[in-house]
Amino acid sequence: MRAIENDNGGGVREEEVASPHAVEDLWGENERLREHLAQAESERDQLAERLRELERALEDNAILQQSSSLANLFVAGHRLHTGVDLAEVIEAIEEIVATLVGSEEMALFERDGDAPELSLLASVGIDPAPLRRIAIGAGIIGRTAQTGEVYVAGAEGAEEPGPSEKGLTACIPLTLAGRVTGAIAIFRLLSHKAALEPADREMFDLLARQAGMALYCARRPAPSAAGSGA
Amino acid sequence: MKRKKILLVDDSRTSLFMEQMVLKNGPYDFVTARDGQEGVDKAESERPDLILMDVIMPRMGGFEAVRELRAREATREIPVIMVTTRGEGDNVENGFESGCTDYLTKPIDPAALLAKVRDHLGE
Repeated sequence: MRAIENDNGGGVREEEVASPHAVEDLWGENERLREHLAQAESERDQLAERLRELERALEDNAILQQSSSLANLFVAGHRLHTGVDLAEVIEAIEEIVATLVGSEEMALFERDGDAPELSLLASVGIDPAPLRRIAIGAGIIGRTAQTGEVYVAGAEGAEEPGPSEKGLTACIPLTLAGRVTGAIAIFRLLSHKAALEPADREMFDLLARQAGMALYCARRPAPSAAGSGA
Repeated sequence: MKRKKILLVDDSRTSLFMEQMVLKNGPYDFVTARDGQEGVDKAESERPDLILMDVIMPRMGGFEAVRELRAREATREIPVIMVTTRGEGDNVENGFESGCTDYLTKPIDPAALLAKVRDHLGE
């Protein structure tokens, strides 16, 4: 401690004066704080860059998800319309449900004109006996054929399947020119697929629009070569 | 970049088409087979860099085909990714016991397929 005269001579003030060591300590501390601040700023910049990377990755992921969904829809559309006969179209529908939706339990129904029932055309992985004929309006499958609306179990307002439709996960009406010409019933999903996803709904919409058309075309006789030259 | 050859073995034309569509923009050439036996034969004659193998197929299934591939000098080292609807632990374990390198479950996730293929081709 030392006493310092006021410049104006008006008295004496006391001021704590640091020793040379204390000054060095203060400079050292100051330097450490500067380094600390620089490090903090560097970390902040790194975090900001990581955040930007994460945002870019999320955008990429969203794009990837979208392109995956489009790829599935493209493959399904292509497969449905490259079948040259009924057996090939049925095979394509079964493969689409197994490979692109994720179920190996399904039933495919047709409705003959204005018939009051659906008849089973093909099935995979289920007991077909109780499903051979389903009256239009009966149960979820019959009502799907009646209303023309896709059924998805667990969706808001969706009813629970009864015993004869146990395990039903989704039912897709097949439409042609605004009329329901059949249905696809999808039962249990593969064990590693927990639930249907939004992309599956898009696939159901595509099947509803195009599978009925593919079946209809497959049932029509192929144009004869003789009649094509006129 | 040197083009790589991928052998796709699956009895489902939808799966084969899907796999080719996802991978077609990469530097890959494709060979296809519709069952395990044809897959083994083509692996021997074509010497692919990678094989994508379905599990359940007519004539010879995927597990048996992989065992056959591992038993042959010419195909022993080719990485094999099993593509299966059976994603449960037992089936995956069977796949690895038969000698597969990796596995993918159906429904095929295009992003996962691309990532695994690139990974096993060292890209």
